[in-house]
Amino acid sequence: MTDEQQRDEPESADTGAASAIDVSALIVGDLERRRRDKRRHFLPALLLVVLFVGGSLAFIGVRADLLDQPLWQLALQLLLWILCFLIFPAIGLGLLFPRRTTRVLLAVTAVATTVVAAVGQGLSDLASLSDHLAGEHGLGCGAYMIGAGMVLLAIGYLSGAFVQRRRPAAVFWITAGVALASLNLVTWHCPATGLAHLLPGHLGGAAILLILASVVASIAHLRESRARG
Amino acid sequence: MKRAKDPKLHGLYRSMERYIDGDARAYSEVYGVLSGRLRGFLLRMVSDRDAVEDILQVAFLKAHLARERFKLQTGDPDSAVQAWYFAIARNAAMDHLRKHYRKQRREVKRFAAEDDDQDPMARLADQSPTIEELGLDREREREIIDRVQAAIARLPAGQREVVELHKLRGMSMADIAERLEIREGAVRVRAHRAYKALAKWLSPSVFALLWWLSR
Repeated sequence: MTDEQQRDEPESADTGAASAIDVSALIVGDLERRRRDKRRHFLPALLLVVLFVGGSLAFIGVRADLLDQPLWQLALQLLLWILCFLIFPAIGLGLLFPRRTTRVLLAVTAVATTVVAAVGQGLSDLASLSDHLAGEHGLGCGAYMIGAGMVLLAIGYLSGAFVQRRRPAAVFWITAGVALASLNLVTWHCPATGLAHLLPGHLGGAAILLILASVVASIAHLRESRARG
Repeated sequence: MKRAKDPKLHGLYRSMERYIDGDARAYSEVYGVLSGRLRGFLLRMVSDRDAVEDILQVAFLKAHLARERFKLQTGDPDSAVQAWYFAIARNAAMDHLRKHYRKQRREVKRFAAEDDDQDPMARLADQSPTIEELGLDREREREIIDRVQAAIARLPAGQREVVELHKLRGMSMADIAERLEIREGAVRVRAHRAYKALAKWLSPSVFALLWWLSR
């Protein structure tokens, strides 16, 4: 609450009929109610996404060395799950409104964390990158990631997640969540640690998915904006 | 020359966007920036502190209900938010004044109908102007109306049509655009040019134009 508002409120409190109803409180109450409704609306979609990701992992299998990864890498992967399931969708849907600096910090942290958590041990092989690039390039992982991402994108599209906020940029938080969830899904399935596989197959696939999802989400947002006039 | 941006309005459009998206904190920011300005503006129109507080609350409530319809056209986005709120507050004040006027008229009619021993006009004597004052006011009003109407007649047909639909029929820019089958932006441009021309032609008495616009 700003200083000016605090100055204004006592003034409005001692007026006549207006003092009977505090419109600001009504408006804030209405916004809170809408936020609760929105949360309730998107909870099933979130559960569906979690079920799909969990089901996929159960179906294709979790990598054998999942818990043998360095603890910091596992912690970063867990952080990414939280970001992609909760934080990014909440921002994209208008349930959380962090300040600009927080948003920038969050985006930068997410990008850095994604690279480190996905590549992890491979970073120590950076010196011998040219040797690694001679091998296979993880096309299977990339394709699987894009396929899984499309399912998540469809859930987002059908639930109306891309048309919740007025700013077109807001859809990128959700598409980033979609790409991150798919990347994490593949990271927890594929035990490969070589950069030749991880860079094009995992991170490259995630980048392509992010672009595809952003295009679809932006079109959905644009159509909705036009429909609203 | 371009008007300098008001630094106090900086970030208002961003707050408005977040408010429309459902951020209660952003609403408080918008309220904090605009309530004082709107209060001052309304006080100049209504001159009754209690009524001003009521109108201010009505204006914020109306803006809340219509917030999805807020659209940025052109120019400075922060000023556009302020202008939007001022337009709503002005309309709310006009509604209030109209109601007040109707109430007074009903009172006078009621007094007359009661055929009271007391002269009904005498009961309102303290507040009401004399017949001479009323006559002078009416004459001045007629003169202003004639000048404004003559100025409107000088406008190009396209601009005149927009002004007439907007001010005389009270249609919104969107409705006018639909009716004339042109873009809303074009309607706004025509209206802007027309009002600018009117202000120039009526410049010795810009207040007359303001008075007419506020009707």
